[in-house]
Amino acid sequence: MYLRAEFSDVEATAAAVQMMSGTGVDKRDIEVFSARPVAFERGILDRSSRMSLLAVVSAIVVGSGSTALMFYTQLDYPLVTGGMPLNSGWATGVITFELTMLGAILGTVGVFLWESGLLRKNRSPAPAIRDDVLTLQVRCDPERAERLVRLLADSGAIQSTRVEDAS
Amino acid sequence: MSDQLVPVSEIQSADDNVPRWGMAIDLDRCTGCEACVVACHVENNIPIATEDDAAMGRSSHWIRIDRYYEGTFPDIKVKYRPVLCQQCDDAPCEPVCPVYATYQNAEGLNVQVYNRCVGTRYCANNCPYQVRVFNWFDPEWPEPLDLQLNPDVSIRPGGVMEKCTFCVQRIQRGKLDAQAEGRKVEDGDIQPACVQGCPAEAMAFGDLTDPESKVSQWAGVGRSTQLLGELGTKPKVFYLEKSD
Amino acid sequence: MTTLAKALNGPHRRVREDVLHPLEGLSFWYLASAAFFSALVVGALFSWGCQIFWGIGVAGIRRPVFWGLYIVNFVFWIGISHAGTLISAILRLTDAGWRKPVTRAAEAITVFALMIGGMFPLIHLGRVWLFYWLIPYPNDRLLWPNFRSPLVWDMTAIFTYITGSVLYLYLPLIPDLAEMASRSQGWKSRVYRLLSIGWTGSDRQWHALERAMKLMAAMILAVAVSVHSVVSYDFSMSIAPMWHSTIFAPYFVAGAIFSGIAALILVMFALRKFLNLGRYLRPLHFHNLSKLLLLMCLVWLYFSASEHLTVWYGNEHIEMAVFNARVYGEYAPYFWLMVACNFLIPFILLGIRRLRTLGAIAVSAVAVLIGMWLERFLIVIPTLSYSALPAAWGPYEASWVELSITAGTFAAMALFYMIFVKIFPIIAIWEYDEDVSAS
Repeated sequence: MYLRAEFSDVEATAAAVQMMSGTGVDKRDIEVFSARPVAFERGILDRSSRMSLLAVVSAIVVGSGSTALMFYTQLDYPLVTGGMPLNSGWATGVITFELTMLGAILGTVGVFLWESGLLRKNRSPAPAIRDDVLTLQVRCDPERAERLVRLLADSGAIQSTRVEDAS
Repeated sequence: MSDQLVPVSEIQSADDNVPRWGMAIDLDRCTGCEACVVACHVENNIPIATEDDAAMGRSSHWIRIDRYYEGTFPDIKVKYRPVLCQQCDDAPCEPVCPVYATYQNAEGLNVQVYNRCVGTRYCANNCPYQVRVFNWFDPEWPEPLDLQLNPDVSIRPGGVMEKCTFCVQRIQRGKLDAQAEGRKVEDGDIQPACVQGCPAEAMAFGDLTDPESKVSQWAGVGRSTQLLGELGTKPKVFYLEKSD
Repeated sequence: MTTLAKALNGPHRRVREDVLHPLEGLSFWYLASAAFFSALVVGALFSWGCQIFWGIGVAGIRRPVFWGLYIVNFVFWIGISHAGTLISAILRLTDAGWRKPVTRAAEAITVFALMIGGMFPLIHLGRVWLFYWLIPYPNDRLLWPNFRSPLVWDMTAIFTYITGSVLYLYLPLIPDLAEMASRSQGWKSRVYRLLSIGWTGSDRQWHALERAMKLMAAMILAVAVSVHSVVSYDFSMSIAPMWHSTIFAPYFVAGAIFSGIAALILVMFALRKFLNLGRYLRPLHFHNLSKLLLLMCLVWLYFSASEHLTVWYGNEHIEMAVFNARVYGEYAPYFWLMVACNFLIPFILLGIRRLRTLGAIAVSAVAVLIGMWLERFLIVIPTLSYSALPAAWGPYEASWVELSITAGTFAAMALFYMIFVKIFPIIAIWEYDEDVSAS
């Protein structure tokens, strides 16, 4: 089950997050919903990301894959043009660059879709988007719920509700 | 015009048995009669432009006679220069084609594959000799010229680039005839239409790798030059002219 | 209006009212101008149809000018596309706060200009129905495209650029789409919901979005610079006089940014006037962009002068034929008009502080667009007209087909933009919110 609490300011939300993680709640079970990006201080609710790394990997894979394809096609059906060498890094370098960048872009967007959870099928329930409050949602066992509700209220939640698991 | 940058004696094929076709044109013999232009039209099924199209710059000729005038009237001297595809070794038209519609074949011909051409016209822009012609529309021939089309040469549809092939159909025929008779192709067996049609015998065609061939002999003389050779295109057409 | 704006306070509420208001209702003038632009677009499509049916010869291109207005327009529109991505990416990377009301308007220009510009290589093909032969796919002819051709480079570059800039426009749109979904009803809500691919506004999503936008900004910057370099390679890889020049790549990129900023300024004027966004697109934005325009004006002068000075001093006869035609000969009126439009007008109007009013900025932007179009024209046509052999020289005159298609593309740009502002908020609401919250 999930607990949901509404906060009116960022500081209270940050305090709630810290108190909960102090009582042993995994930060991966906590989510904060807002209508605009919320800047928590470092260490409050960091999300690790492999986006840069995977973008580079994707760039290398697509870039070298396309270069390999070009070299293969030019050897597979060799046609001399303009006295150029069949496999010319100079003449195909532009395409290598462009497809490397394409790989990086697609990799970034792919990782964005994955890390944001937008592509996942079984997602936790989410509140409607509201501009005036921040909504903190935490997944917990039913037996711990009582305690966490009190904790949320202590840290300044306007109101808190319980949400049953959809599945 | 530059001197010959690549001596004809250095032109070689990858394989000894493969010829490398070339042409030599003696400008001091050329009278500018344009018989070569007509012969080429007839041989290669080249569409005939209407008067309006020609005025607009859309006439199609695979070979044309450039005229240059020297001096002032009345002391004027006209110089004629038949310009056809120079069949460059390092042809600038080839690498720019996105679909390989033009490439260099083993015999040094700069071939044009009509069926493959999509009509970007990049090759024509990059040809410093401006010898490539484009089919702006599907071709038509006024009667009765439509009855005299050469069956050995394909008709090019609209939207396709074309140019001088050194009469590749005649090259092919010459090789097949020689093979049927069990002999090698000899110098003079193969003559493109323009060479055959030249009344002044100002043109020679043949294998540049054969030092005995007429074209090699002509191309090797001191009067021999290449058109815009300084661009590094390595043309295989040699012009023989007195240096003034 | 009441349906969209829920109870909210202060600036957050205000921005929603102002930005979402233009999305509702269609005024008479909107429909009338949409009809006008559609007519021009239909006319262009008709002309293109004629060209496909009768043959490419209905256009005015002829030997030796094998590339005409189509390529001029291609280069021009790809240049315009640098408005968005480049400007928004630079401003995003440097974290310039004033960018926020501007970025989406700019990114939309990029996408539309690329869609339009990307059409021209197709329109200009002799056999457009075979365009897919340029795409590398396994086929029964066992033939692949020639990857050594600058046209194939071009195709890859534009494909990468359009993919990148569509995503770059779309990613920051997602939160706004989710908001639009919650603020509208019925099928509209469902469409917005679908487009927002399940955005809930969780901190994970915000983290991923901001990280992705940072990376995308850096990458799109590299791609944008490369794309216009590759467009310039179409010319500079050839051995045609005054095309074969090492300065072309940076020259084209600078020119593209120059015309892109001008286009962005004009679009912002239109948005300000027709959508009443004066509160967001403030004089500050116009002044900041006009300073960028002035800078690029000087960069353009520098590149142009370098290009022409080198050719003149070298005095190589083949190149001088083109140079003379451009500067003194039959193309001289266009050349000097270009100098006036690209340098004199913006330099005087924007360089002298007293003259730098909003009206003057608009005039400069229009002048720069005209000047940059002329520059593309002067790059493409005279070189082909005056090729290496004087015996092969020939003139060029555009036909009604090319003119109609050219007009149609400008109309298409206006039309695309009009439709876009009716469907999506033209100012990124959440980014603006963030800005307001921070201050």
